[in-house]
Amino acid sequence: MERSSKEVEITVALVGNPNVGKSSLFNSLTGLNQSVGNWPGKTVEVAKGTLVYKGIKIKVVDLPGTYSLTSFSEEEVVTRDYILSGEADVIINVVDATALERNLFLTIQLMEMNAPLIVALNMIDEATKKGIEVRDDRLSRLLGVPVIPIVATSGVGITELVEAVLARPAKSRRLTYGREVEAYISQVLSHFQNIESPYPLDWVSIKVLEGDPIITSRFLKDAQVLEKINSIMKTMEDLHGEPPSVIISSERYALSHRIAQQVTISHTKPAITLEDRIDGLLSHKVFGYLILLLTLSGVFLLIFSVGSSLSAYIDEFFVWMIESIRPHLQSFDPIFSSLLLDGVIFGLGAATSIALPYVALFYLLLSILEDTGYLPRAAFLLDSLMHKIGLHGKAFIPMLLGYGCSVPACIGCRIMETRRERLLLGALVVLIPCSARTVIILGVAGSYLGPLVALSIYALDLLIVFLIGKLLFKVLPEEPVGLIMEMPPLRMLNITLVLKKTWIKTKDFVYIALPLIVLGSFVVSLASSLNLVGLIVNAISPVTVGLLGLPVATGIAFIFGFLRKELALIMLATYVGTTDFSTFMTPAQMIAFTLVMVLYIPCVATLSALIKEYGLKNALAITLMDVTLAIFIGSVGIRVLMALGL
Amino acid sequence: MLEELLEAFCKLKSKLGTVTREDVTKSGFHEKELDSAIANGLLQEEGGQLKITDRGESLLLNHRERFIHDSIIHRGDASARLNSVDHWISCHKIDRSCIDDFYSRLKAVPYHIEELVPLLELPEGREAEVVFLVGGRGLISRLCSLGITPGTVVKLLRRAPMGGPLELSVRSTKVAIGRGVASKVLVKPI
Ligand SMILES: Nc1nc2c(ncn2[C@@H]2O[C@H](COP(=O)(O)OP(=O)(O)OP(=O)(O)O)[C@@H](O)[C@H]2O)c(=O)[nH]1
Repeated sequence: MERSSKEVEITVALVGNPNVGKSSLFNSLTGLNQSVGNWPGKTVEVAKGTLVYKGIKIKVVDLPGTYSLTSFSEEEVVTRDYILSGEADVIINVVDATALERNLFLTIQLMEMNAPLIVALNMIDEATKKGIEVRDDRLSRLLGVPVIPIVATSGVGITELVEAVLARPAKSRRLTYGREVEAYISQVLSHFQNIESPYPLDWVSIKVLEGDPIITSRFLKDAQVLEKINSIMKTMEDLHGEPPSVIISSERYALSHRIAQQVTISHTKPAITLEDRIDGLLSHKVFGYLILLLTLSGVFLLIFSVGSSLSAYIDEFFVWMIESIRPHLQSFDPIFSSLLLDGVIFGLGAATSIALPYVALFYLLLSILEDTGYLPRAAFLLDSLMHKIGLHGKAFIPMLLGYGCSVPACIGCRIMETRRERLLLGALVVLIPCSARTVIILGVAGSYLGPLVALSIYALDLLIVFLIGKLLFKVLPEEPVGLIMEMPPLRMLNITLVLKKTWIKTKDFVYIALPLIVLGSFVVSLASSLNLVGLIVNAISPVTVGLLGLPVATGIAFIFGFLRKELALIMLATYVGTTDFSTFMTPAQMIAFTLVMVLYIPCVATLSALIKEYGLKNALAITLMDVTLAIFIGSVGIRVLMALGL
Repeated sequence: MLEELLEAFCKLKSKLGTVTREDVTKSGFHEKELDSAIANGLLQEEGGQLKITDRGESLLLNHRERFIHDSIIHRGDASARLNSVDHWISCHKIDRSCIDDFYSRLKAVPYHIEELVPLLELPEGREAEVVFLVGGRGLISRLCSLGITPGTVVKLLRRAPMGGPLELSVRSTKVAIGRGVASKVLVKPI
């Protein structure tokens, strides 16, 4: 009997250390666009995609990167549970050929679990460049699993890899450790002979020896056995002076060291390379900070100057277009004309003038920083600063992402190790002005009061972030978790990849935000022609006018700003009927307005990301904090500014 | 032996965080021994939790010194050696949890204590062998999974200024670790 091709389905999971190219491989396999970048810890969600090859449907699952499979971090548990669930028919272990020893540590653990394994030996191009040759045939023999050399970014070896998947590798077998450790494992194993377990008993024994809390509580219910095992563990600890988990890790590393030595041939002597020199400069005590300062100010200057002039051109073009169409339509039907021109076309113009210059430019520059591997260097330099607010260097990365969009920044907080740190950082990143808020800062304070005022608002925002960080650190005190971070090698830029990534991120903005903005503009111009907006805006005037001393109309910006920050200015302009904000706001009001807009409430998308990451209660607490903060800073700010005579 | 009970108590404390009566009796001590430790003012019971008193603490330290004296520093003049251990500890500003761990694991360390320094104090460009790791299980596990296991040779590439982290070369990769972490990794410079 023949089965239709639809019924045949293979599920493969990609497992590997952070930053080895899993997402790149996922993208080459599925043609989808998982985010890729040269810093460890980007993939935090399990991503799924499919590929059809020779009529067979292959489901591909991209798991978060992990170095090990203990139960100390969420990523490790997610990955481990997935492998144990048996959902995947094949596990592809993506391995970085330039750091084989470290990568095989995970391979060895996957083999302990008897996973049906294929090793994808990635970054062969990098290895060749570094004069490292990996004998894949010998590696395959030593491990007893198929090994396929690939280059995930260019697609080399992908067909062979898929063929290997279709051949369905057998379950892998655990490698043997030193005699002593093996003796301990079999001692534990002897207590498990008549235990029902869906998992390999050897693996359970090893985990029990390691003191893994999840496995121990599940399989060690008998008090007598528990006592015996504790005494085995104690013997190990007394003899070696290290807890069993460390002894076993050392054992695995000893094994991967031996294997790596046997399969790699170094053609060049390790000399100081150009990369090392550049790296030395980037992390240098003095020059490193100088370069960091130059890089960050360069990024912002580029966005400010190129972004705002580009944005102005686009604006002008749309104004020109609207005004040249208006006379023709007006005579035809004035209401329709106003809805189309002041609603739809105006919204479209406003959205593109934000999206293209600011959003695309920021993502372009961010991609460059990400792909070269500069971000971890910056994190290295900023570690001690971050310690002042109870976090460590890695926290810098989500903060920088926050200047683009708060949503990826919130999700990016998962690179922190503990829940408390994630929450702390999450509360801070939403206060960072995202690209939409940058538009407000530049569009209001920047264009009417000069770049210096815009810069001061940025500086003030950073100060507020820092102070709130310090405050939260006081409220949620705990020893900050120390920094332990891999520093990926610096890489040459692949321009195609960078442009592709920029497009993908900008596309998200265009597809999601653009329709909303156009729709919003349409709704506002419709509602204002029906005099509805006035009612709502008047309803919140006690806050806007009473507390903040702003014009009544600004209420519209606060309402729409909650939907999307990009909407705030556009809707305000649509409502008031002018993009010249100086006609209805004093300088002091413009500054206060900008400050409140920057701080006041995360947009809906960010709020839902917050709820997803930290739960409803914490998300609401963060929102409440932001609103209070915004109103406080705004109302104090405007009074101070007015006293200064602005 | 009350000292042994105190040692066991400290181990439990670092493992569990809080220690109750049952925890101690479960690890093989008699109720009576526990009572006498309390009666002697070495331990205190507060709301079901056991705490060590200052007196208990000093007895423990004494005991540990004798332990080193007997089992480790058997070469040469014992009392001179003992002084140098204390001296070593005070020189390197090792934190308290480190010292506790240190004493209980000293027996199995293949090197002489004075040969070791915390990684934090290794000069730039120098290589060293990791001898042991102290600290919580999570921390140790994170260090191990990045390849910083006992016996590994690491090289200190550079340290960031102003209390910043250290960058190491480990197993042909580069790893950055914070100062706090680096003070919990004891190494023998090569
Ligand atoms: N030269 C070269 N670079 C590669 C190759 N595969 C991936 N890269 C680069 O390595 C970096 C990391 O790749 P990712 O695909 O993001 O890695 P990942 O394993 O998904 O990382 P996490 O999400 O952090 O776990 C990116 O900068 C890629 O462009 C390769 O085969 N050769």
